[in-house]
Amino acid sequence: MNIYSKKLILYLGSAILAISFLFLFLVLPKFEVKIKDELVNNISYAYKGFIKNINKDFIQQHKISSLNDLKKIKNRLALAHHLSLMKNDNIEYIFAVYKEDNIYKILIDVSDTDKSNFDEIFFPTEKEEKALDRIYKTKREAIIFHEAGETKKIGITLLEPLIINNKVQAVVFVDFTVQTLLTINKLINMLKLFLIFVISFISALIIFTIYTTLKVFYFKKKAYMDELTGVYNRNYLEEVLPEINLQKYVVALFDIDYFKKINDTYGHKAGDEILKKFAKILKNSFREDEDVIVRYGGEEFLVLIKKDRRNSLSVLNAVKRAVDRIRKAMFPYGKEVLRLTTSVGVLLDTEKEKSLSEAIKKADVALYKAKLAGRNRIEIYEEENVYLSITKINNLIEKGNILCHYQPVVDLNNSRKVLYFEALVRLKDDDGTIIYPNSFLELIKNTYLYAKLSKKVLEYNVDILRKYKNIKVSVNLSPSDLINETLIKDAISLEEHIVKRLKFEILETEEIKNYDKVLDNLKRLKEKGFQISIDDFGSGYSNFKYLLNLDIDFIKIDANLIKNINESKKSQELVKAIVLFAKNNSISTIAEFIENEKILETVKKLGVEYGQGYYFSKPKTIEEILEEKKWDI
Amino acid sequence: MKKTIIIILNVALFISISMAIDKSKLYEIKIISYIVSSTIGQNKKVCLYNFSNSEVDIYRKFSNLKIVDNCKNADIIIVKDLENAKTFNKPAFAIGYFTFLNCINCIGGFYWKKGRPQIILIKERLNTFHIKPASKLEKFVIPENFVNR
Repeated sequence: MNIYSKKLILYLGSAILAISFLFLFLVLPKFEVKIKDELVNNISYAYKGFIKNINKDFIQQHKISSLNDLKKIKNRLALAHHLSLMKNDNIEYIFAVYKEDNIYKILIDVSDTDKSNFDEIFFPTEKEEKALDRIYKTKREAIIFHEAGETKKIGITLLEPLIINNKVQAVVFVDFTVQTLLTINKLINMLKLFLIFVISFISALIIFTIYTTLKVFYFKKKAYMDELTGVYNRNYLEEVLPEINLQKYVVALFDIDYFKKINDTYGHKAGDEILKKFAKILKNSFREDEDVIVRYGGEEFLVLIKKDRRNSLSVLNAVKRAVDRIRKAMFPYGKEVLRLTTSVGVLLDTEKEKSLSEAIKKADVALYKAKLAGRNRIEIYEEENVYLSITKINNLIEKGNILCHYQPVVDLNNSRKVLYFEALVRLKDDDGTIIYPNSFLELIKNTYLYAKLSKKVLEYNVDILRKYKNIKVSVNLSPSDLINETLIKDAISLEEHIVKRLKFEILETEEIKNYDKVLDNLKRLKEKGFQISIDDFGSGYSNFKYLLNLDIDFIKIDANLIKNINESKKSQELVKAIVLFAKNNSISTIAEFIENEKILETVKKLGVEYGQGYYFSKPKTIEEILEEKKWDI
Repeated sequence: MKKTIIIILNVALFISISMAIDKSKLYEIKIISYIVSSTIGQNKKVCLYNFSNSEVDIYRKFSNLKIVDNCKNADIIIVKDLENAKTFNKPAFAIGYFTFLNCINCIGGFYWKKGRPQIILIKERLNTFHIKPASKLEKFVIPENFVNR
């Protein structure tokens, strides 16, 4: 636990102890008096009853009607007899006094020691004097606790009035020994000790509970914090954030531009320093108590911004402010000073979202757009493609509502002769509607669903190849599929007759992070006997690496070069160069997007061997294609 | 340094003596010194008659009386356990009931009865010595004939 938590516990503990002792200090004396009174009442109960009987029976029996009657020797002797009956070891003195000329005098004394004579002057203690005044007024008994030193041998005195004709004529003193008081005090001290123990125990228990709670809270908090950046981590995202009311937040996903390059150039330590400072800027740009910042991935930060700002523009201003701060900030590392930019994807309209993961996915789509558009920008998610929900895609994949449409790749010199059919994935909605990949592929990219879909597509096509023994099929693989060991193993374990008729088209749709692994697995596939085709060749630079490192069978020239080939001399030159390069390296070329005869003629003239496009056939189910019976398979 | 040691020793002695003397004895001395100073006046010379040396020391330490050794020079004598102190021909104050009864010069007395401190001041004897006690003590002033012999 950190120093602040320890201090907090110390303060809380001290406060609880202070409250406990204040409670003891205020309550204990009252408790003590109450218990003492109760104990003395119990002890003196019998004596009170005895003297009440004297008042009731003795006075009537001896027809005593005044103090003078009471003073008569025979009555005093009779009274002495009655009082003597009360004597026991707890009693030190028993005597009665009467008041004459404001001086108290002995009426009768039945004590065994220090006996006084009738009419002897008696000075009560100050406390007793006050009690006697009260008794003469109220006719009610009193109990006096004597202070140590102010009296000798006596601890408690019970004062009971003798009432004749409704008037107090004398007062009986029953002096209990000091020992009785000591016994009572001992009992009270034991109770006090017990009470102090109980309260101390309860206080300790409360302090321990607070300590444990804080400790649990601290460790729980630690489990939810990213140690490097001090913002929340994915544990928090997975365990706590699903509970939040998503509608109250705007979801923004920040990604540090070209972070991988920084890591590669300056090392991980520099990367860590940048992440720390980046997180600090984010923390300073948003409200600590209301907005939530999570380190979502390596260099990705998720920010949930509370919507209570006046409008969405002010939320965007907050995001923009953060982006500007990052842009202006200097990130010193060693002697270098680095500058950064960030791309942000924002989902403003969270009301429609069923879950946080779907909202994040949409923010991710917007982030992807921001990256595609050149980075260092904020993109807001818009429902332009009527995307499906992740949950729905998952359900359809789980249910196996997957099918492929096939488009033939034909020999340009004999357009009925099919090289192979390219499998194009579709999802089938529960009502039978076909869902095209532009509605779902972008959403599930880089998720486990994509891997799941790729596996299902491979299985689907293997089934097709088993069913239709004379056709050849190509399946598209993304770089993420090529690092998916399960998928690669599934492919490698296929029988030879399938391997011979199954080709893989490698897409260049993602930034490849693990080239070595991709190349390694492609080599394994090649070794197994699969033919490999590079899709969209010319759209990016990464697939040149495949050319350099692998024996590629086909190059599929990118549609962007083909569709305007008749209008663009440069496109023609480029296609010509690709064809020349391919021929020199024994690689066959395929032109995509052949939509009309004019394009067909041009690509043929440029030496392209194979072609694919609407001019030959739209993608159809394999059954529809075979029913046409026009293809030389 | 020497002074400090003496002060510490005195304090230690005072504390140990206080602890040794029982509480009722201290209470008694407090009452007696109050009565004596309130009847004959402050800073009068007081002689303790028939007291042991240790008792005198206690009075010196715990009372506000100006204790003198020679009773002839004293303004009042506090008499203990003595049947007749009339020879002094000056006011006296008795400790103990019988001392009080037998000492005709005693203006009053202090004794314990039934565990309680008792104070008696005799009106006639106070008059003889022209002593007027403080108002707080008036309730203890009784006529000679009230005394039960």
